[in-house]
Order: sequence, then C-alpha cells, then structure tokens
Amino acid sequence: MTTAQTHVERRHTPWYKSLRRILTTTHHTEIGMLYFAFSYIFLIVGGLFALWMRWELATPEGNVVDANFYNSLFTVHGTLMIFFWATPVFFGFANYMVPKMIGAPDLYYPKLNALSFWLLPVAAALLLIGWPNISWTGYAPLTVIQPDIGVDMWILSLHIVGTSSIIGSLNFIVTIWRLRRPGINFSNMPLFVWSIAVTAFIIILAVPVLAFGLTLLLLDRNFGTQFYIPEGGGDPILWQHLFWFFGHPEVYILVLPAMGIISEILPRLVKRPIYGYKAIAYSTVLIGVLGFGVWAHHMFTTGMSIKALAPFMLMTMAVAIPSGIKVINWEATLYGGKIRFNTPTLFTLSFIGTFIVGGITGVFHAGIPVDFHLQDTYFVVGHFHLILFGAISQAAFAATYYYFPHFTKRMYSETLGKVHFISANVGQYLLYIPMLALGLLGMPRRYYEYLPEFQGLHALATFGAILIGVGTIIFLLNLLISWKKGPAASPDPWDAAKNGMPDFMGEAMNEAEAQRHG
Amino acid sequence: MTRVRYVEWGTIIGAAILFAYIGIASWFTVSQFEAQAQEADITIEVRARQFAWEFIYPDGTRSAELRVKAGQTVKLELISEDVIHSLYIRDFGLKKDVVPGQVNVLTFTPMKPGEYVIQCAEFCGSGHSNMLAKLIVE
Repeated sequence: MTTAQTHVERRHTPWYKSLRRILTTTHHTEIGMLYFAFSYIFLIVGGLFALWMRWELATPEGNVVDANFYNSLFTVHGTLMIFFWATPVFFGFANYMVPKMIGAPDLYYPKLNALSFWLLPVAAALLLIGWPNISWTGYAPLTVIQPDIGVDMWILSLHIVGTSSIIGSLNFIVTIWRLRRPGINFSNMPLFVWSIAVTAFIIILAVPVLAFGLTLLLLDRNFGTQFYIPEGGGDPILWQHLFWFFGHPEVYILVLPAMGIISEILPRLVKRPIYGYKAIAYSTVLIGVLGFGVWAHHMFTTGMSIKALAPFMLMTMAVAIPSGIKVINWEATLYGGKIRFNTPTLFTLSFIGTFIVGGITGVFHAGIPVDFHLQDTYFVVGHFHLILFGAISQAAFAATYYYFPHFTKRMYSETLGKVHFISANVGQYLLYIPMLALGLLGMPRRYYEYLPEFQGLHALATFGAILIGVGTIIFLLNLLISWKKGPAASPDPWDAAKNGMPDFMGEAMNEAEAQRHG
Repeated sequence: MTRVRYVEWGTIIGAAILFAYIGIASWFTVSQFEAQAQEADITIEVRARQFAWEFIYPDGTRSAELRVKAGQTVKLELISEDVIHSLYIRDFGLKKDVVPGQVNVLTFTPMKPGEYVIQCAEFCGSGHSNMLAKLIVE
C-alpha cells in the first residue's frame, strides 16, 4: 500500500523538482533539458558580458571598467558563448531528439551521457573563477608569459569541456550506428541526425588537437618547456596551427547542427517535404571534410609564403559551395510551400537570410590581399557574430519555439515571440553592420579605447546590442511563464504528422508498430 | 532537370568561376608584394614591444614615429621583443604580424604625403589599444 502510494506520488512530481533526480538522471530527455537550462543560463551570462563591453565602447575613452577587466570580459564572453552556449544548446536538442528520431529508447551509454553533461558546470566554474584576460584564441607567447593563474584555469576548463564533448560525440556515434530501428537508414534518416553524426566525427578529430596544444601551453607555463618560445627552439606559430586546426572545424561543430535542425523544422513549418534530401545530407559531409583544410585562413598575415597560403584560400572558397547548396535547397523547399508567419517560421527565415549575409562577408576573408586589410578588425567580429548570433543562435531560438510544445505540452505566447523576433533582427543589424563598417574603416578588434572618429558607429552598435538584450529577456520570460501558465498544446502542434512528416520519425514508427501488434 | 536544379548548378558553377578569378587575382597581387621587397629604396627596422613601436633607420637613428618619403619603396623588417604584435596601416590596407623568433617583411610605396596611423592589430596585453604610432609621408 505504502509503496504503491509513493510510486504514484513520484509519477506526479515532475523530475526537475527533486534535486536528487536532477543529479542522478540518465534519461536522454531529462539530460537534454539540463543541457538547455545550462546553455540558456550561460547565454544570459555571456550576453551580460557583451552588454558590459558595449557599454564601455559607447565612448572612445575607457571609463566603465579598466583595461584588464575589459580584456577578461571579451575573453570570457568568447570562450563562454562558444563552449557553454552554442555547443551545449545543440547537444541538448541532440539528446532530446536523436533517440526519438531514430526510434531508440535512449542513448547507447546513458551514464556516460550524464557524465558529459556534468563536466560542463565544472568547466564553466573554472573559467569564471579563473577570469583570464588573454582573448579566446589564447595566442602564445602572450599566454606563456602572462603570470595570472587564471590562464591555467582557462586551459583546464577547455580540457574538461573538450573531454565532455568527446564523450558525448562517441555516445552519439554509437547510438546512431547501433540503435537505429529497422527501416531507418542513411537514405531516410532525419537530416538533424545526419548533422549530429558528422558533427560528432568533427569533434572527435578536432578537439584532441586543441587538447594537445593546450597541454603544451600548460607545460610551457608551469614546467619551463619552450614549445612556443623561440629562445628555446619553439615557435609561437605552432600554437596558431594547433589552435586553428581545432578552431575552424569548431565553427562547423556549431553551424552543422543549426543547419540540421533548420532542415528538420523548415519543411514541417511550410508543409512541404524538404527539397534535395541527398544534396543536404552529402553537403553536410562535404563541409565536415573541407572544414579541416581551411585553418590557415586565420593566419594570412603571419608571414607565411603565398605558396603555403594559396591552398587555404582555395579550400576556404570551396567550403562556401556546399553551404550555398544547402541555402538553395531550403529556398527550393520554401518555393510553393505554405509559409505560416509564426515565430519559428520567422526565425527560420531570418536564419537563412542572416546566414547568407554572414556567409558572404566570410568569403571576403578568403582573398588574401583583402584579408591583409580585414584581418583582426571589427569586420571579422561583425562577420562571425552574424553567423554565431544571427544564424546559429537564431536557429536555436527557432527550434526552441518549434519544440517548446513538445517539451512542455504547453504553447508559448505568439505576440511576445514576434516582439523577440523583431528586436533580435533589428538589433543584430544595428549591431553588426556598424561593426562591418568599422572594420572596413580600420578599427582593430580587442581595443579597450579607440580613436574618437569611430564613436558614432560604436554608439549605434551599442544601441543594437541593447535591443538584442531586451529581446532575449522577453524570449526567456515568455518561455518561463508559458511553461507554467501557457495554454495546453496539442501533441501535433504544427500539423507535422498530419502532413505526413511526424516530428520524431522513429518514435512515430515505433508507435505505429505497437498499434499493429496491439 | 527541374528549374531548381538549373538554379543550383548555375550557382555552383558561377561561384566556382568567381572564386577562381579571386584566387588568381590574389595570387598575382601577393606575388607582387613579395617581389616588391627585392627592390626597396630604404630598409627600416621596426621593433615592437608591449606597448610601443620603435623605428630604426639605416643611419642608426631611432624614433617613435615612422618618417618616409612619398614615392619611395619602403621595406619594414618587423622584429618583436616579447609577444606577437601586428603592424597595421589602415589607410594602405596593409598588415603584417610581428612574430618573436622570425623577421617578417612589409613593403609599401606611399604616394600621397600626409599623416597616417599605425595601429597594433594583434592582441598583445593590457595596453594593446594604446600601441599606436604615427606614419608621416613627406
């Protein structure tokens, strides 16, 4: 009697209300939710650091914080947004959705999955307590001579977050290969699963190289080795090769899941099957492969000879082609589709639009003489923020709105969603277009103080940043309030199953089979 | 072939042609930079340290600002005394990293007399944004 009662009680208390359950859960949907909570918290933290920087940059002279604190702000902002927002948020989606999409009960190694999540808070704490001021790229020998212990904590933080993503990626690869239900294969597997499979391989090949570079840096700093110090026969450029061999594929680690999730939700929102399934799937693989051959485009000004640089220029331009193929296939999906102007559709469309703007500003850097001017200026900052915020984060927002009814069984507020859409999009162009202009005018990045002639554009950018901040607050309030009080959502909120494209293909096939047998 | 396929292949081939053009143009432009270094009129040594520039002329004079003559091809030999810096002359659209352990070369021929700004473009520590110098073309 008592056991039965506790059993009933446990079923009615949501899992997230018990701390013990949060700490011990190994279920993929619950770990997925933990990933979301974690990454959205760090979106707020990283966003506040960004606003703090923009506030400082509203005037040419440094008067809000001191130079070292400003340097820490952009270091922590960069590291945090990449490793604790953009990566984990898609790991969250992957956790929640990949097993459902391939009809698996859970990931192959549920306990390892919990481990790869719980390593993240440790890494984040190390980063925030360390408060390093060496920029997220951590160029040697500045990082070697910087006496601050924060740099060592930054190194360890990246080691831990790297371990976490390697474990997670192995788990996804094994899951996708071993737990696909019969009937789901590489010619009909959902495109999001394709993108997670490719991303997992990129992580496994790229992150160990970063770990290797970081270990050498740790040795240089603490044990007197001189891998990056020329006096001892080392070479500071070695760090750049190791870092960017990881660092550029990292961009694809972030963008491929975003592209994958857009390829999932776009056809369901416009009620038309995805155009060019094979082209999108194969271009994902092609981006993953080509992405490993472009790293030296971050190093065009280091004094390497044109003969060494030219192949990287060609590869950088080549990688734009599979990205373009994806865009054309999304547009072809839109053509003749029934476009509903709800929040996820709007964010999906703005993802495609901003991806085009951000992508084309990226191709500028491939031309070596053009890069001589643009390298390390605000043009680069504007370009990659258009991709990281304008495309990748907006894809995460689109998918969060789209899957919100699945996660919570409730509906969010459409009005607030549209307010968020407008403020995010007006804000991002007010923020990043002035950055592009500043870069063309010759404003180097990571400047605490700047020449007075740049103030107008900087002030405009600060205004845009505030708009984005307000929009993001509205977004999160919308989700939190709707989670408690929103109207109940139907199990098929976007009529996806009705149009023959169930949101979770594997789960739908499992249910259909159960009905046949039952 | 459907219409979308035409658009798709048109874009792929169009982009490939454009990229090939950019690639070839870049190759020749940069090769020209590298060739220019051979026939410089004056070679000036640049020493970069946290957080200042120093220019050493062939006659041994040292200065915190770079003075050159219009029409003269200038070759800068870039030497770092501590961390990586980057010499950036925004009005000429030129930039070269100053890397410890190697001597990088930056060549240019200023045409218009005037005052220009030299900025450090590679993050080098707390005074990075104050690492400025004047370029005076006479």
